[in-house]
This record gives sequence, structure tokens and C-alpha cells, in this order.
Amino acid sequence: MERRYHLGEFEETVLLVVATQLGEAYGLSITKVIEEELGRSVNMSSVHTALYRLEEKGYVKSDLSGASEKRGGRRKRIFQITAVGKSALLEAKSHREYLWSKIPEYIFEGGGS
Amino acid sequence: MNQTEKRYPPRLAERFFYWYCDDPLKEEIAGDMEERFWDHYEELGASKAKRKYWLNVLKFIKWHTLKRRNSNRYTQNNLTMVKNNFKVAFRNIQRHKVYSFINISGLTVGITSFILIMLYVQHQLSFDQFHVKKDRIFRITEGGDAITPNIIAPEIERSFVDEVEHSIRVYDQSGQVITIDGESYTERVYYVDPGFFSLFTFPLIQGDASSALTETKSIVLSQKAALRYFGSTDVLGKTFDLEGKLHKVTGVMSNVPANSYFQFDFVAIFSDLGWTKRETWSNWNYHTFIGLKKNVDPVSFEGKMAEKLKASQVEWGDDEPLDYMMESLNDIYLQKRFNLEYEMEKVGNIKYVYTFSGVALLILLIACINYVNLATSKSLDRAKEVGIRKVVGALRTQLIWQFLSESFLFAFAAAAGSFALAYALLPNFNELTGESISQSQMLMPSFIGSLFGLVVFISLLAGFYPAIMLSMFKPVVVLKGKFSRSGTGSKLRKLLVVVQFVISVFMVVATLVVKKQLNYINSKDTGMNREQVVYFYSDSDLNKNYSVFQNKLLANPNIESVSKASHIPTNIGSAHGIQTGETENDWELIYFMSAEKEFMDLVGMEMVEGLSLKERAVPYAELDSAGKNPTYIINETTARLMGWTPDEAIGKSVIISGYEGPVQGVVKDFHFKSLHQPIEPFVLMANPRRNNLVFAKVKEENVAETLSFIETQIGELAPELPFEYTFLDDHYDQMYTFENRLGMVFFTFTSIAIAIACLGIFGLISFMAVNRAKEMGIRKVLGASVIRIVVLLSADFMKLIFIALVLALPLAYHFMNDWLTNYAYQIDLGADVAIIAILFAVLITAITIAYQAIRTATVNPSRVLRNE
Repeated sequence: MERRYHLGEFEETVLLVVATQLGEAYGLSITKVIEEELGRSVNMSSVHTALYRLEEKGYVKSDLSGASEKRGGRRKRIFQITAVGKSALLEAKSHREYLWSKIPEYIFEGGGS
Repeated sequence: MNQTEKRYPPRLAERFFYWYCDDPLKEEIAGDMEERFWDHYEELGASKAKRKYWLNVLKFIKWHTLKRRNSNRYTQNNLTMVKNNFKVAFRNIQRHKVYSFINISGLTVGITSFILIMLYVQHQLSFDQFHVKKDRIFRITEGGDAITPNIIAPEIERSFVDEVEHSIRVYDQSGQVITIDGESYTERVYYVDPGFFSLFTFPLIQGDASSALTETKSIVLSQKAALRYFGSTDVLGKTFDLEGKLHKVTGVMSNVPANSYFQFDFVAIFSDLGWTKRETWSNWNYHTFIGLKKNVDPVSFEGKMAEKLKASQVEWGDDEPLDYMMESLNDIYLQKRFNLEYEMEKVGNIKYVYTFSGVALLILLIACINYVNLATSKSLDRAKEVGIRKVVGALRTQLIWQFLSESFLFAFAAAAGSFALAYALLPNFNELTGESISQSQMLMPSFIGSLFGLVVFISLLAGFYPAIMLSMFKPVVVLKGKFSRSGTGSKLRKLLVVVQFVISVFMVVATLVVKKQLNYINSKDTGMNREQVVYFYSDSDLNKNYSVFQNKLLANPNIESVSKASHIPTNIGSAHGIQTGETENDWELIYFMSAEKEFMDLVGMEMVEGLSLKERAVPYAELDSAGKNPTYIINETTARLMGWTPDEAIGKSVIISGYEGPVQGVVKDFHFKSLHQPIEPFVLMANPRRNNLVFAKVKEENVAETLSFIETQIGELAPELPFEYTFLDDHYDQMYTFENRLGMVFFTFTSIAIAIACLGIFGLISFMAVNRAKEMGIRKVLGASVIRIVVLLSADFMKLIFIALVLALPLAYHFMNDWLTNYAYQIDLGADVAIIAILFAVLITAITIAYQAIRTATVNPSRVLRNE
């Protein structure tokens, strides 16, 4: 049976950010990317919850490392995307592409943003 | 990054975070938050950064970040022990099948009875509680009567405009002929004053509550009646004949709920009853209800009202005015304040509500005692288990919890069974009590919730003592093998058995007394012959053609006699006053009825002295015309009241309601009201205009044919009159349905209580037999006879029964004597009740223990002794 991936919209965003930040992704860094680069207001705790769920689903794995003085000497939990996580992202992407290809072109003609 | 400046994240917030956050997550989250804090600190400054830090701490309170309160291992162990407790309890239930069966079935029957009785009690207590203004509605009463003169309501309305919102007369009239589309029926109709629907909460689904009964010849009917007669509830504005007059439907009300004192389908306007128009102080037939305005104190108003009414009576010419009182609507159905005559509808009795609640509790108690007795008598079995558990390290509290969870399991199983059983039995129970309690009552969350509460209550009540006792064993004693059937708990067990038997014997005596009294009532000679007498209402057509009708009926050989009268002679509720002294102000109530000349023979009234109705009948109404004296036939009680012997009474002048006339005869006392009351003064008169009931005495053979013959005759002479007949003895029996029902209910639940108690004794003797098997074996070897052993085993119980009888009998006699004072005519308690109760108790115990005792006594001693 083909595996089905369940990825919520926000989870997908977080997972994508994790993938972009190869080995550097942790709660705060992801929050910053979403806030600053995507211009979307978000809560640290929601990002944390999403990461926690993604880890439960096996889409990311994590390790503690990289303590700094700014953190009061505490380590970060660095998240990495797993193979399953990659497949989930690919599937989500292909679903979108498929649906995009199905949209008749004239729908977006005439500049409806 | 200026940590040197001692600008730290708020310490309190951090501490709070550390307090709630789960350990493994603390480091990373706190780290992220602190990093964020310094970012904010640089961008936005200290105070904003601090505030944001606080916000973050609060936002991180999520399900997955919360600390798992107890350490994982501890939680799981606790849970496992709970599971294990239930598992052990369940295995115990399976291992001791008989024991478990006795216990669970006893509890089930007990709880089922409890549930049913509580539903009944709840139903009784809910009567009339649906009226929005219930606390402000009062009925005006006088002395022992619920009925009052028709002037009371208007008088109060006129005098207390500031205090009284509504004052309403209600008069119920049965046998009202309605004609719809050419078909005639008789119905009971309430005649009420216009504010009826504003005062009482009987919602109209069509029409307007405040104006429905304002126009003359308006009528409101119930949904039920509308459907029955019109096939639709959309009947506003339709018309039909009521008592020959065209009435218009001005409202349809939703059906009257079962828990309403008023029970009616038709409401018409009081003033449409022509003969009630004149307001007098002597026309006593009406129920007067008043609705007080908000914030009027009923107690002080009652005094004020009584004063005012007295003054009005004096003004009217009555020197000894009566004292009128107020009875709250809340008290009417259950007769909390008064026990009145002439209720228009069925009433209950708060005493019976208490009695039933008591019975329910007693049954539950008996069932719980069973559990305690059986559980503690099993202590020998459980002692080793307790010993081992303690050695392995069980705490006493853990053991207590274990035994409590066992009793919870029992109680829960029993309650689940009871719920199903009670649900299934509710229709039968309704039949028994004559109430209509809906099964949906049992599905309400509040009911299920309280049932669950009951389970907890029972498991504590029944399980607490066994749990304490069983968890008390000392492992050393138990495991050394020294522990034997010690005295622990056996005294208490005996005490509990005595309690059970006191309750049972009490209930047996109560049942016997109730039965005896009811039999007495049912068979008491009321001084009248009720058998084979049928009666029905007449109408104006029939009255016109009455002599033709009478002759036609008498031509039928199966009809012995036909006559007319104004009242049903077993239930006379109209009274005049009879002057007993020199002046008009000395008077007593005297009940009256009017009849035709054949009536006395028809119902078997006997004359003591003087002329009967047959020999002389001068109508009451004609007395003014030619100085004729009206017929007054008084009963013996009236003669006694006046201080005459029957002999002397003849020819003496009496003044009844102001009309003077000589006594024409004295009729033998007969019971014209329920046997709750003594016989009161009564006068028989002739007043043809009031004779609206036809009585016929029919032969026992071919009753059905005779009745249809009567119907045909009516159809010819009075086509509009429906033939709806009642047998006089049925009517009489109906007056005692409540008592008879009560007797049945009592009988049923007493049987149940006794059955549960016996079940317990059976369980106890079984364990005793097992425990004492070796002792009995040795006795047998040494030469004891079977009988001796049976006696030995039973003696213990018989002693307890004896003690119980000594305690219960005086108690029961005392209470039942009290109950009998409700009746004006009562049985002697006598010794027979006690003798039957004693025989019954001894016999039932003997039967219960016989099986086990004989089995133990006849078993081959080698079988019980070979293991030693």
C-alpha cells in the first residue's frame, strides 16, 4: 500500500524551512525565517508544537547541540529533515504541481493576483 | 549582549516556566526564549522584551510541554494496581458463584425497588410544580372542606385589589353532554372564571390565554380532545353544542401533564352556568383559587382575608361567621397542610410519600446488610490473601482500596442490572401505582448521574466495614495457621441480621394490617345495597318523558326497579345547614340528597320510624305555596344531634337552610361518604328538579342485554343523551382505589424486602455450614443425631429471629395503630396479626436454612474429617 503523508499547511512550511537550513534549524531560527522572510506573524510556541509533531511523525529528527552564551549556556535542539520527511514534501509538491497544471490558463489571465 | 548589566529575562517568568515544563524540554525551550529575549532587548528595549518573554512563557503552556505530574513509573504502577484490584475482584466473583449470585441479585432487587420507588416519589413531589406562579397560588378553604361558597372569589377580588391578581372559581361538572356533528358524548367540563389561563400555566397552542375565556359561550379544549372529536388541533372558531347551547372554541391547550392536580379536557366559562350567577354565602360547591400579587406575604394576607370575609358574612346576616383559610397550590395534591373533603381530583398524600421513601431506604439497607454479612463471613477465605499481600508489602490503605473496588464492582454490576430491570418493569409498576411515569425520565442525565452517585454510596455503605475489617488481619497470625473463625465481626453480623428481621417483621405486620383494614372496608355493610344498581345521567328530554321511560323499562322483566335521585348515594357532597339551637346562628352542616319515591327501596335504605319517601313526598320547592310541609327524612345521626330518639323525632320541626318543616321519618344510618369519615347528619328530601341521575336495579342474568335495552329506550326518548352508565358498586370500589393500590404496592415491596433478607440468611447459613462442617462431623461421630445437628445449626438464627420479633412487634403495633386513626371505622389490631407475623417469620427462616442445615447434618462425617 502506498504511504500517505499528512502534512498540514503550517507543518509543511516549517518542514520546508528545516530543509532550507541544513543542520542549522532550531525553534527560534525557523520562527525568524517565517517572520522575517515570509512576513508571516508566528509564535515560537506554535513552531515548537509543529516541530514536535513532525518529529512524532518521523519527518524530522533532532539532536541537542550548539550552546551559546546568549542562550544562557543552554543547548539548541537542531532539527534535520529525514528521508520520510523528504518524501512527504515531494508528495505535497507533486500534488500541487499536478493541480497547477490542471488550471486552465485563462483563469490567471487579466492579472487577477 | 549586555549580560554584564544584569539585564536578565524576568526571573519569575523563568521560574514559572521551569515549574510547569516537562524536564526533557526545558533546556531547548528556555534557550530559545532567552535568545529571543536578547534579540528583543536590542531591538525594542528592556521592558518590551520582558513583556514578550512573559508572553512566550505563557504561550508555551501546551499539552506536550506540561510536566507529567507523577513520575512515569509511579503512575503506571498505580494504574496497574487499580486494574489488578478489579481483576482480583472479578476472579473472586467467578470463583464463588453462589456467593456472588446471592450478593448481586440481592443488591439488584434492592436497587431496582429503590429506583422505582424513587421515581414514584419524585413524580409525586413534582405535582403542580410546573405552574409559573405556583408559589403565589392559593385555594380558599373552610374547615374540612375544599369547597367554598360562590361569593368568596368576587368578594376577595373586590376587597383586595392591591394584593390579589386573580381570583378564580373552578367548578367541575361531569356528565355534560356535548354534541358534535350530530353525535352526542358526555364529558367532564371545568367551569372557570376568565383569568384561569393567566393564573395557571396551561399553555394554549392556539388562541390567546388572557382573552380565551372572556366571551360568553366560549370553550377551550385540550389537544387530546380536539384530536378525538375533530381529528385536528386546528379547531379555533369551530362550534359545537354543550348542554344544548352552541359554544365556540376559543383556544386549544396542550394536554394537561400527568403531574397536575387539575385533570381536564374542556374548560368553559363559569358565568355560563346560569344557576351560579347569584352570589350567596350558602351555595357551597366551588373551588376558589386566588393568585396573590408579587411580594404579598401570604401569612399576613390570610389573616386579613379571613377578617374581611367574616365581616362580610356578618353584614350578610350571619352571626357566627366561618373562618376561611388559604392552602398553597404546592400543598394541595400531597395534602401537606389539610386533608380536605370534596377534592375535585385525585389527591396523593405526603405521608405516603414519606412512607414509600422509608420503604425504599429500608430495602436498600437490607440489601447492603446482606453484602456486609456475606463479605465478612467470607473473611476466613480472604485472610490468607490479606496476609500474603501484607507480607509482600501492601499498605493497609491499598488493601482497603482493593476491597472497596470489589464492592464497587458488585454495586456497579447490580446497578446496571437494576437500571435495565427498572426500565423494563416501569409499565408494570405504573399499573400497580396507577401513576403514569414515563420511561424517558430514566434516560435523563440527572437520573443517570444520581444512579451513579447511588452506586458510589452503596459501595461505600456496604463495602466500608468489610474493607476495614478484612484489611485489619495481622499477617503473622493469619499465616501461622492460627487464625480460625474468630469472633471478629460475628457480633456485628448478628446485630445486622436482627436489624434485617426487625425491618422485615415490621413490614409484614404493616402489610397485614393494611390488608385487614382494606378487607374490612370492602366488606363493611354501608347500610345500602349497592349490587346490580346501575346509574346514568339524564337530560331535559329524558326528564320530560321520564314516566314513559320508567314504564318502558319496568316492562322488561330483567329490570326490577327504576328511580331518580340527585346524588350518588355512596358519595354525597352537598350540604345545607340545620338549625340546632334557638337562633339562626346555631347550626350544623347537614348533607342532603333528593330522590323519587322508589329510590329508598331500590338501594335498600331502611326506615327506622315514620313515613318513607314512597308514602309521602312533598317537594322542597313547593313549600311556600300552600303551607305544605316539605318532606324531611333525617337519619339517626341527625336525630341524635337534636337529642331525640327516632321515635320522638317524628313530627318535630326542623329548620333546614331556613325552611321549616316537621320530620316525616327517620332513616337508618348508612355511609354516604368514604369510610374515612364517620356518618354525619343527613336529610333525604324530594326535589324533582334536582333529580338528574337515573338509577335502575337490574337482574344478574343477561346484564348486557338489559343495558342495551336501556340504551335503545334512551335513544328513542332522548336522542341527544349518550348512554354512559356506571355500576354503583364499581363507583364505591373506585373510592378506595388509592387505598387498594397502596395495599398492593406495600405488599409487593414487603415481599421483596423479605426475599432479599432471606437471600442473605441463606448465604450466611451456607457459610456457617461450611465453617462448622468439621465440628458437626465430630459431633456426628460422637453420636449426635441428625435432628440435633439441624437444631443446633438453626438455633443461632432462631435466637436472632426471636430478638427481632420482640423488638419489631411493639414498634409495628404502635405505628399501625397510628395509621388506623385515619379511618373513622377501623379494625382491632388484635393478636392475630402478631401470631401470623411470628409464624411467618419463623417459618420462612426455617425454610431458608433447612436446606443447608439438613445437608450439613446428613453428610457423611468421613468426608469432612478425612483431611485432618
